[in-house]
Amino acid sequence: MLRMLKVELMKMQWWLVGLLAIGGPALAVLLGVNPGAETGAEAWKLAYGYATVRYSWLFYPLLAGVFAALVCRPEHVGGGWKQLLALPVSRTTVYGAKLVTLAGILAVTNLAFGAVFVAAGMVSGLGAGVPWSVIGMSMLAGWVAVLPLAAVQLWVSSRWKSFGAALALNVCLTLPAIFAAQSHEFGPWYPWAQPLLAMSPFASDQTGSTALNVAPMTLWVVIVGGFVVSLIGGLVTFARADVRQ
Amino acid sequence: MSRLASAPRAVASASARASAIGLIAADWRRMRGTWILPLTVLGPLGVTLLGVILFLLRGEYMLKPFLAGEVSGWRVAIDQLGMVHIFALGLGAALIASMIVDVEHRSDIWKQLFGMPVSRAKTYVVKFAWAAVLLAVSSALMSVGYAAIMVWQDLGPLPWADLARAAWLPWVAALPLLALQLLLSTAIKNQAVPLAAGIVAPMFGMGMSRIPAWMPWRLMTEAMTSVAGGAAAGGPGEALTWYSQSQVVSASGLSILVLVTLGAAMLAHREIR
Repeated sequence: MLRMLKVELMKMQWWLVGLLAIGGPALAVLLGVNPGAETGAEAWKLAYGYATVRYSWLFYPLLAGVFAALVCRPEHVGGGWKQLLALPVSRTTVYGAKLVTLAGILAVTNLAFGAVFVAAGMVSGLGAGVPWSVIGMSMLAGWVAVLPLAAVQLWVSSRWKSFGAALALNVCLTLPAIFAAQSHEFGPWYPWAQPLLAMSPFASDQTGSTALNVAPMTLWVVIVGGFVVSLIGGLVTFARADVRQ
Repeated sequence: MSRLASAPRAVASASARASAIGLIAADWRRMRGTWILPLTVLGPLGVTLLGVILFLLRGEYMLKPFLAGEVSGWRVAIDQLGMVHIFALGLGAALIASMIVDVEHRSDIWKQLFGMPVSRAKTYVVKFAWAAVLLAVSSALMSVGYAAIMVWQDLGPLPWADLARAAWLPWVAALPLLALQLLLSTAIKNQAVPLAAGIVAPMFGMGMSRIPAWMPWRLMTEAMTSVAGGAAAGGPGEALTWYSQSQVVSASGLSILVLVTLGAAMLAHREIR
């Protein structure tokens, strides 16, 4: 597994991953920089709230799909699947290594978002009182919440050659998130709304939960359950797939 | 004598016409087996369904200002869906642009295609035209969706002029982005790059972005604001420039001209390996 992971890491196009993982979050933050506004802890929280909406409603879930497709790209180009699976490695290991790589890249992306936000906040003069615990919890919760989405995207990306088709599915599922997030009945149940909900700095005030910013039911049923279902679905599909090229 | 001299020219122009039609037909054949066509219909259908769900969930609350006579039924519909409408249009443009050149990239059809006596620039323009037509179909269906929601929710007589504007103005404003995405998708083989650029687009339209209003990402928000007759598509604290309809159209036309010419020239001069 570790060796497989190493192979996966070697195959990634790091310049592109780096550009997306740092450039995207940076853009999300910088578009909202508003110098000369109020300072202090509340201002930090408010600014962070705006930044997370810009970042975690569409960009972060969609980026998970782009990275999932990117992780599968070396194999889709030029008959890589056949060559890779002809080697004495189990398909489960191959799939697992890809998922771990994907999760790692998404973690780095979220860390970059937090880092750029804090840096931009300091430069633009939000002053003292960086809400470290709020931002830290938000980054962790957002990452956990995006994992089921990433697993779904890896599921389709490992089978579909077309980047566009996989991303189209992702867009269709992610766009409704803003409406789901506003609804008290549907918000906790819609997986694609979870990054947005979990990353909000006001999330724990609303759900009253200290565990990853979401209600325990949402965490276990929607996020963990969703992840397990899409992981098993993806694994079964991948293990049984008829690899022709 | 003059008739003799013009004969070859007539033949040449006839074959040029045939090849233009041939290119259009060829693209249609290549497109038929892909996800592009279902996506063109499913996109607007999805946004409309979203509207339906929204009215089912929060209908009473949303209809309150309308029933009190404060706003028109049209504003109720477009205020809720305007933002998702333009985001879907922007992301749809990126997806269509990527999918329409995907076959050529994946099977190295560029090489075979340009081994034949076809004009590269024309091939590019035909692709842009096809993508624009597909986006137009999507946009028109969006207006059908608005009309359906308005009839279903009994939001008063259908405002035909507003519905028509909601179909064509955001479409015109989305074309520069489509041209930009087609340029990227054609230039770069790895479709992750143009699509990643495409998913950045909604961030610009989501409020407080200070990029100039004529730029492709902002122009769509401006168009939707003009359609809704006020700041419907804007986010919190957004300073809108309030482009008028003619400003949107002229900014769009200029950008399309520049970007499509650039893309066609680039494809014409590229070395195909």
